[in-house]
Amino acid sequence: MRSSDLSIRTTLLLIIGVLNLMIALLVGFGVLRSWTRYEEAQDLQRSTTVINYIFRTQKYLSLERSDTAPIVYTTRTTTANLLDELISNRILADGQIDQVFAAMAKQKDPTIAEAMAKVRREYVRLQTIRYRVDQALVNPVGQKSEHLSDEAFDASTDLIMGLKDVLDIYTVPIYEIDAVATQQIRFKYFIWEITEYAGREYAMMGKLIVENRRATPELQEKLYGWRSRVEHGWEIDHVLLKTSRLDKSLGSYMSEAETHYFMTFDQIKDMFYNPASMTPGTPYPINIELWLELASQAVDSLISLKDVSLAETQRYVDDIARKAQRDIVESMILFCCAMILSIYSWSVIVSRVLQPVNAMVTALYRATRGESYVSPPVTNRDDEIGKLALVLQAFQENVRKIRQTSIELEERRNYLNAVLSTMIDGIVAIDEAGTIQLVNRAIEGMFGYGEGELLGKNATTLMPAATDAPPRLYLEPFMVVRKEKYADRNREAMARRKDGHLFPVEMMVTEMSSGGVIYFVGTLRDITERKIAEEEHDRYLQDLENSNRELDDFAYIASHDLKEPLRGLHNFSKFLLEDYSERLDDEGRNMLNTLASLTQQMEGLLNALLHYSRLGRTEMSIRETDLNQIVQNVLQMFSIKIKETGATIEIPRKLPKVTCDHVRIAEVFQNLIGNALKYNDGGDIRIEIGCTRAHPQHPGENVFYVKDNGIGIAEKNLDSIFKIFHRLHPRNAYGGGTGSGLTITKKIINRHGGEIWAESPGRGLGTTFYFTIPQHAHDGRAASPGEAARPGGMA
Amino acid sequence: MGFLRSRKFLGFLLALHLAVLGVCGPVRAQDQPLQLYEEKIKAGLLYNFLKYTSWPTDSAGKGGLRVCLLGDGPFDTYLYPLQGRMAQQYVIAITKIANASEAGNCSLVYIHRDREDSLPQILQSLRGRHVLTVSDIDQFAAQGGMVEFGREDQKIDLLINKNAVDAAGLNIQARLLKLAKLVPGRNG
Repeated sequence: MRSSDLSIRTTLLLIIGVLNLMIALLVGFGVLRSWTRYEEAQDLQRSTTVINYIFRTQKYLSLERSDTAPIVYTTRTTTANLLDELISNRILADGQIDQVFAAMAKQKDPTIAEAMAKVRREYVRLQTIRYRVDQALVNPVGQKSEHLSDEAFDASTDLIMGLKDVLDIYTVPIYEIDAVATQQIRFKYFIWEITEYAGREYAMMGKLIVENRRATPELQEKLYGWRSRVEHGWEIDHVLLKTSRLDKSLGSYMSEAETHYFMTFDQIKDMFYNPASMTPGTPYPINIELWLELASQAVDSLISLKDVSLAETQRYVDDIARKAQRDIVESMILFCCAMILSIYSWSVIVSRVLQPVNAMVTALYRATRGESYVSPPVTNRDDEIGKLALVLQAFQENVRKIRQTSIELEERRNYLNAVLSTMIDGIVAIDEAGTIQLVNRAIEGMFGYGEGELLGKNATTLMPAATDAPPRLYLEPFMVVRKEKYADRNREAMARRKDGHLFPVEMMVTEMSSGGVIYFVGTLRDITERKIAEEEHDRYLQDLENSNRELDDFAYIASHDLKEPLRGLHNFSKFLLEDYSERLDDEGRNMLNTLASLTQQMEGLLNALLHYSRLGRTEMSIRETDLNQIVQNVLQMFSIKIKETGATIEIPRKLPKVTCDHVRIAEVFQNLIGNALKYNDGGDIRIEIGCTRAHPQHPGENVFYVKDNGIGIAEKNLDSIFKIFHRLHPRNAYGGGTGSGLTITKKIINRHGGEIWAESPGRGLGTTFYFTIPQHAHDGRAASPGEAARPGGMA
Repeated sequence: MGFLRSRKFLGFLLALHLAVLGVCGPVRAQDQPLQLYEEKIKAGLLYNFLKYTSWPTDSAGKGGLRVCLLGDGPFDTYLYPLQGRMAQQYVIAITKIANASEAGNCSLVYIHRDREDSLPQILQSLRGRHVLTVSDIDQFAAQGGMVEFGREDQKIDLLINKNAVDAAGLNIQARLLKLAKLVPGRNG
């Protein structure tokens, strides 16, 4: 495996890994955030609880303070209700402040610890004051210390303020956690402030009622200060109500608390704020218990508002916690899903992509090194990888086939090269520019070049220009094939050996196209020897023709010139018989008669010879001839003889039209039919004239025949019957004759380019003469099919 | 809404205050503020009764708390700011009625002193209804009224006829009851 392959795989894995890691990190971050949120919510829940403790402590301390202020001025009997409330509020305040101490003991913040230390000091101080208040309660009204009342007021107030400081410090971290919760706590804080300053107001007012005093200017200033704090508190809380999402749940409660506060304080407290409006000595028109109840009820409204608000905040915080919890679960599920998906995708990519690809690459790599190709086991898959594997497999199969083919091609090439190099004929291939691309060894030997010497040379090297031909024509033998594809493929040309010697070649050119390039392939054969032989042959042929003609001329002249003295001999022998027969004896007359008949016989022989020689000398008149007509004319000529002998002439079917010299062919039929009538021992003479295409010697060719049932011919004589003046019978047997008829017949047939022969089963069994008239020898026209003889019948 | 913060409202209050002072011109100067303070305290008390009295569920709450004023008095001025406000999460509606027969759908009827003469008839007509009757008429509770704002030693005194309250099917919370003198009067 090369390093680059490894790096691609590694990179891919790395990218997938990083992507997966990023997804896991993102989701993990979500889990972490939800967890943090949950923890914060839990902090918030704890803090809310602690804040509630502080608020409640303040509430009960405030109530205690309101109760304490007037109680030290009233008799024990009249304050029975108040005392119960005071004690109850003290117990509740103590219970709550213990919770605050317990919760704050866990706090490590030094500022809180410091504030708590102050709260502890103030609490101890309050305990002391409480003791003194309890002591004072048993004293008569007149002996009660105004100072103690103020001290109690201040001690409670200081403790409440100390707790407020703790609250301030404690709530700071909450502000950083949740904006809405912060707003809600702030809302409560201002409710507390309203409650606190209203509480101070009503405690102070209760004291004034009990003491039946008018407020001093200092006290008025104090009252106004508290009142402005209350109004400020309302103002801020109206804003906070909206921003803390509490207006829906707390709007009506706040409205009611506000109404209550207004109805109680704003309407009633005028008489305390405006002492001048009160007649000196006149008591306030409300007793202390009613006032305290009214005031505490108004404060209760505020407190219940605060309680509802606390419950709201608790619910809100619980919601946050629950949501955070749900978020954690959701995030964890998401994280698990992401991880599973991530691992799954990783494994899918590794198992379904990387491993198969790797296997394919390995297989290919091994295959390229010549090792056997093992197809990866993914070819059954229908996805891209499966297809790729199939492609590779196909590719590999192709490679194997190509390798196999190349081996076969190599063998084939070697074989062809061997064939080429062992061929006697020369092979040369040239391109369109005439450049020689391929030659075989025969060419190199034929032209006297070394191996490979001709490659790249122009074809003109081999085929020189004719002395008067333009150079373009060098390629003419090659180029002609372009124009007339296969026509004139065999042609002769002159070639030039390396030594400059010219020699004749017969060449065959074909055009071929290979890879879009046109090549001309020439097959060359050295025909020097054949040319010499042909020339010799032609010369012999010419000599033969000349000698034949001379012989014909000689025969004609001889026979023509011999006829005159022969006629003289005949005439003089006749004259002698007519004029001198009385003078001669019988023997002398017989001798003269014999002489006359011999001269007559000789004249017949000379005429025949003359006729025969004329056949070789005169031109033939070739034309299309109806053989039926010729045969009919001949039969007409023999009509008397046929009648005499009672012969039966049979022509099974019409004869074809042939191209021939009709006079000569008529002579042929005349001779053959004449012979058939003549050479017969009498009785029932039967002659058949016909044509067959089924003769074994000339199958498919028109073979004409004349068949008789005559005396027949012995096999040994079948050839000699065609010799001139050759007779098989005594001179006067079978009507006599010169013995030249068949010789002339043979000559006529031969001049037509045909053959003639006789067939006979034996003596007394009849004879059949066959002959052919080849049509191509004249003008190539063959007999039409309709006139062609059909097989069967007399064949 | 915070009407306490509203300067317009405070101005309105001041104007109302002055108007009342003008109306009550004949009253002695030294008594004038005191009486006003008493009326204010009574108004505050009345709100407490609206807040700490429970009506049968079929009588109040549906249309809100309906406060009906029978007769005339300076007290009304201090009660009107309650118009549209809330008590026990119900909206308060204040209306003046001419006679007791109109008090059909009232939760609370305040009977002014000017109706002292026809009080028996008024109480009679309201009998059997879930209506809290409040008045500052002397002996109101004893005559069968429910809540009486009385006076004792120059201070407002609270008198409650518990029988009458119970008879009307109403319930006043103990924290109010403990402040009042319970009057054993007729139950209406």
